[in-house]
Amino acid sequence: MEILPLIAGICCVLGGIGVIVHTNPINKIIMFALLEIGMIGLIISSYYLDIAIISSLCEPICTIILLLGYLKYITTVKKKKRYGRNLPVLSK
Amino acid sequence: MEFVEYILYIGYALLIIGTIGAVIGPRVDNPLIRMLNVEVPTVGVSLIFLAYDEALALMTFIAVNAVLSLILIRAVILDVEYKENE
Repeated sequence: MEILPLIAGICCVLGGIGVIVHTNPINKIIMFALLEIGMIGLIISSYYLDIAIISSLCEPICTIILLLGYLKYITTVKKKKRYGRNLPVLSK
Repeated sequence: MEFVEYILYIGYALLIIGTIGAVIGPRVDNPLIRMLNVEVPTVGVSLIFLAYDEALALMTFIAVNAVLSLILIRAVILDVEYKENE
């Protein structure tokens, strides 16, 4: 067997186990990027280069969306004010 | 082992690992962590599409998956905001 599918398969399995085992969402997002890299490697090693273009464009966008969403989530959880954003008149 | 069987077995392994992790994984009472665990069987399904030579289905599934993660994480954030306002 060639060397690229072997390394991509190891990346896929280690990334999948790492996403499940870690509990901090930043570490989970990093392990998810490793999993996606393994999937792109397996797609390339079976010569679907057009699908490799699409997946290489879409998956960093997915990672950025997850990071921004996690930052918004942690800001919403840590926020201490009780009145909320929808009624700005009551806060004055 | 053939190359197609290799991809197929990795896809099956990711499906099993991801499904068990999304149901009884560590700290899945947090909805964000459960949503991140669900991303693992998605990659498993993509690898099974790749093993069966379904190129168009694979391309569509990858492209829709980015939009799906946007909608899911927006729903999680809105859920937390509504729980705080109550």
